[in-house]
This record gives sequence, C-alpha cells and structure tokens, in this order.
Amino acid sequence: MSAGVVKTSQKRQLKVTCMCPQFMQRRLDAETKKQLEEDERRIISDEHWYLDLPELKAKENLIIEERSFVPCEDLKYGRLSFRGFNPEVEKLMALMNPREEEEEEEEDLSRMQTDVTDEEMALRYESLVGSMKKKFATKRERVAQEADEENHEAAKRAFVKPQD
Amino acid sequence: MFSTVKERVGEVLLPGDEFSFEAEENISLTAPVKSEKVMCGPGLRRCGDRLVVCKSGVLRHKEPNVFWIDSQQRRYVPAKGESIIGIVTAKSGDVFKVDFGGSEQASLSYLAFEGATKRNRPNVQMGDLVFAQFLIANKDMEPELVCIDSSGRANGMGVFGTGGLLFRVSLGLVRRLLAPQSNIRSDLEHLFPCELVVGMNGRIWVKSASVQQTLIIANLLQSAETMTAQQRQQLFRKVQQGAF
Repeated sequence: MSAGVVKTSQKRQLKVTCMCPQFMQRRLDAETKKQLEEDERRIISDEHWYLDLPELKAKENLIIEERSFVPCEDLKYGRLSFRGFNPEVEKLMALMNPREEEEEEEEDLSRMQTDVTDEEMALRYESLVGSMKKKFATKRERVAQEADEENHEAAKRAFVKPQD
Repeated sequence: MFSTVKERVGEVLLPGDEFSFEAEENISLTAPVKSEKVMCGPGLRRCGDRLVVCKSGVLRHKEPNVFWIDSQQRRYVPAKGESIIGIVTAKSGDVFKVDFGGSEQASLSYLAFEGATKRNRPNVQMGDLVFAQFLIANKDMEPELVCIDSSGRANGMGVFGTGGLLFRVSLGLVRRLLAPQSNIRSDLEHLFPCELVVGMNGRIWVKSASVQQTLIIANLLQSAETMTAQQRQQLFRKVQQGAF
C-alpha cells in the first residue's frame, strides 16, 4: 500500500503533466504559449535585419476625387412622369427627389392646420389647470376654497343703500 | 489653394492647367489653421499635391468646396452611382450582359433585382430595357450594374416599359433635363401627359398617350439641344397650340 509514496516535508512542485494531461488537449496552454513566444523572440531579435527608417505617415489628402456629375449639380431622379401619366412614377419622384422643397410645404401645412392660435391655447390651459386642481383637492382644501370664495363674494355683495 | 481655385470659377480652363498648394502669405496666429478639403468633380484630377485640369470647359463651384469642369461630350464614361438605361444583349449563366453605350458591356447579376433569389429568377429577356445604377465603374475593371440600392429596394430600377421610344441625346442635355431648376422640364410639364426615363448615358425613353405625341416629344428633345431658350419656348408654344 505505501510502497511508492513517500511524503516529504519539502514542498514538491507538481509536474505539469499532472495538472493538465496533454492527451486530452489539442492546443497549448496560454502560459506555455507565452513562454514559447518569448523564447522565439530572444532567438530572433539578434539575427533579424530591419530597416532603420522613420515611420512613414500617410499624408492627409486634401483633395477628394469625385467622378460623377450627380452630387456636383444635384441632379434629380431619372424617372419622370408628367400630368399623372404614370402614378407610380409620380410617387417615386416624390420619394426619391431631394426633399428640401417638400419640407417647407409641410411646415406651411402644419401651421395652417392649427385653427387655435398659441395664445388661445395658453389661456385655455390656465383655466384647465385650475379646474383639474379642484377635481383632485381634498375635503379640507375644498372647504378652505369655499370660505375664500364666500369672503370675496361677501365683499362684492355688500348692499349699497340708494340715496334718495 | 482653395482661394486660388475659387478665383478662377467661371473661367474657361484648358487641360494642363494646374492648381498647386502655396504657402499662405499671411498666417494668422489667432485663428486656428484649417486644412480645407477640396472636392474635385469631373474634369479635375489629383496629381500628387496638385489639382490638374483634364478637360476643357468652364470651372464651376458649389458651396462649400466642390469644383468641377462643365464640358460637353457625347460619349459616356461610366461612373459609380450613376443610373443609366441599358439594353440587355446576352444571358450567360447567372449574369446578363448589358450594353450602355460605353467601351465595353456591363454585367448585371440576376440576383441584383428586388426579391430575386436562386429559385425566383427575374423576368428579363434579351432586348429588354433596364434602368440600373453602377456598382463598379473604373477603368481597370469590367463595369457592373445593379437594380437595387444598398438596402435591397428597387426604387424604380429594373426592367421598365412596354412601348415608348428610346433615343440618344448628348450628355449635356441630360444634365440640363435633370438639373434642379430646369426650364426644359417645366416646359415639358405643360405639354402632354407623358412618362420619361432619363439615363445618364445619354439615352432617353419616352412614352405618351399616342404614337404621334411620343414622336413629337422625342423630336422636341433632340432639337432642344441646339436651340436657345427663346427658340425652344416658341417651339413648345407652337406645338401646344397645334396640340391634339
């Protein structure tokens, strides 16, 4: 039983094969890879020749070449249809052509569609906020508000005796 | 260099004229030094650091930094991204050969149509007219056409139109027709209801309600090349009055 195993007090370094059995692995371990690379580099660096030149930087090109006329002159889409001869092509024309003019028209349309001006909307919202607030007021707040209103109204309703 | 080029906008230039980088005489210490990019369009070429003119014509400018030479020619040279009208001349395997009027024929793959798969082939026959755009167009390789854009949609490209008439015009007229504010196009609009397909290779296809109207429009466009604006408007008015 205890034939071969002898425990020593010294720490033993386990062999690599015990940690990761090679027969199941197809690739080298990361550590062994690094070691191999370093060894290679040490061998190579003295023998390899290299050019002692400064690094060449690609010059920033300030001239861009463009072979086509289309972006230069802003040419429109090639299919045209006039007076509704081909409605599909007319839809395509609206889609494909640069949309600057169409955006302006859209803005005008949206302005026309607002029948209520901004000022009227602001006025309406002032009163709306007040009425919504009343809806969600607690009983104490409601009582307080009614008292306030009575006071104001009482001030208005003060009877003025007609002077004969 | 930007300023030297801008000075000569509107002048007639000849091939061989150069613009080179010169050191600025007054370098302001406060303003940041901007290296301005110059975009050179057709007719201008980059030779190392210099800008060289290679076609004779008028120098044009568009904000912010686009320059090109406005010249006339009839022979089309393919450029990437331009849409043209081609005629299918041959079907070889998976690829169509398309003639667009250039020095060689372009290839158009059958998968470059919207909704085309290996099982679902597009219905393209020999002699069909296709509206396609260039995917590859340089002097070293065979030009290649596609009928879809980068997101896979057709956008009106592909085989078009039965009937109608195909004719050739100069490239300058095509550009005038497709310009953003075009008088010829607005004149045509008031004439007959019609449909046009304009290819940048100088080919125009017209279709109208009757054969006679189609022929009238074709003749008008071909003669509009050599007329002044007034003559053209007179002619259009005459046609409109005698219109049937």
